[in-house]
Amino acid sequence: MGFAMRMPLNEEIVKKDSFRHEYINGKKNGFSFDVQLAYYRGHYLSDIDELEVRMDGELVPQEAVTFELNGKEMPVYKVKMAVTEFWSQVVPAKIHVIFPGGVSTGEHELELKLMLRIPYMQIGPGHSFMPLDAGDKVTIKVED
Amino acid sequence: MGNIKLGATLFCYGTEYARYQYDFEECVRQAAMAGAQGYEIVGTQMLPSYPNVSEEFLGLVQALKVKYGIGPVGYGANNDKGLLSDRNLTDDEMLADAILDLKAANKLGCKVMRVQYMMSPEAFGRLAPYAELYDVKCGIEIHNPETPASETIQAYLDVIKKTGSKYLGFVPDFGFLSVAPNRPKWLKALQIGVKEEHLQMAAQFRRDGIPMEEAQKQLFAAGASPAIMDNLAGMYGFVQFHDRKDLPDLLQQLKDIIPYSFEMHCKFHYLGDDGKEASIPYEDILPVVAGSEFDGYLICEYEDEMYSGGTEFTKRLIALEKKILG
Repeated sequence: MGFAMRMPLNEEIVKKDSFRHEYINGKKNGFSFDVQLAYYRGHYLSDIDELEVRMDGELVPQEAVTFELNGKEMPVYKVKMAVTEFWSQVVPAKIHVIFPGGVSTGEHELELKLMLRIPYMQIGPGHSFMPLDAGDKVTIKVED
Repeated sequence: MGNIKLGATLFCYGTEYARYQYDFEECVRQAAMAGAQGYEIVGTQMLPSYPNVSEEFLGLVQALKVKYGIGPVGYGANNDKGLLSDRNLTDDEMLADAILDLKAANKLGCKVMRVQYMMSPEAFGRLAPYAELYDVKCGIEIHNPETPASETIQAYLDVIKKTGSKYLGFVPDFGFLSVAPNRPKWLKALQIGVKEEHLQMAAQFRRDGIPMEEAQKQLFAAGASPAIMDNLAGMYGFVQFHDRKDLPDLLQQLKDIIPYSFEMHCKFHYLGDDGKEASIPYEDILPVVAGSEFDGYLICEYEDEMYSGGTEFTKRLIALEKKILG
């Protein structure tokens, strides 16, 4: 991958304290966490090019990931079409993940890959914009 | 005689805002304390209901004006040409989005809107009747590496002249008058192990007009750390600088564009204990503005390369402006 801008104005992009188990029919079968947009301004969700979640290095299937902002929860493919949903950099989004069996107690490595286009920084002819790497990899301590 | 007013963009406090150290009110309060007589708001950064201005937010803005004595005077628009995942926005679409920005600027009471040159000269020309309706003057930002005389900017000047509208013009950002390497980037490079002699070499290559690829080759041949690349890219990109001997020509370019300018941005990256900006020569720039007919705000704009927050530097920059302008 070529050069991508990073602007971690807030050192904590993935909010570790926000990690929660999610339950399906009363059983631990997933998790959620909050993420702050790592840039000086907000973006329309359609500026998001890639959104992937990995738990301990294992990629979560795309259809098991949803993105929630301002009370709307949507699958990743719709995030890329959301040209009127604006993500302010001071309003964290919540990522929900269906993860059968849940995450076990102890330390885990949670990685969010989040690549955006900076839509006013055209870097070449055609549809070519400065990539923004707004992802994060954190070690979380999961409790029961 | 002109009429210069001093303002600040709340973007100066972007780091504090992103870290939740300052909320919107605190940004306004800090700008007032620093000596700003009005402020610019960047819509995508601080409008809670962007791209619209809610009644609730408008109420807050008005209450803060009563409390701290300053309100919004400029609206910083973003012209997001790359908004769609599969193609660029057309001129028609860029125009429609810019009209929405005009509505926001008007509702906030801003008389000037800063427009980015992602909007084509043709689309910008079509904005004139709408700008007149909303009574908001629209200025294309002249941002380093562009200068008033560069081809891109001259294309807008042609359109402005052709429309004859008093509502289309420019917002020059004094970053285009940089005559020394960007100080924070220099310090950051030293911190990550780049040698000062290699930075000096890079700066000299830039002054001598050596192409970046050639400069890179020679730096690596001289044993420079690969970590110098970020700095080198800056020197040839958004924080590039001119040789000091070019300053008279650049100041002439500024003079030529002032009659078309609605607002000017006093960019700053680093002010040392001597109170001077490390790369932008305000002691040469501000007398040119003071000697002109310019009527509007000088908006100070801190670009936080060091993620250190802009509170202290903003105070220093406004103090420097006052000292020079008398």
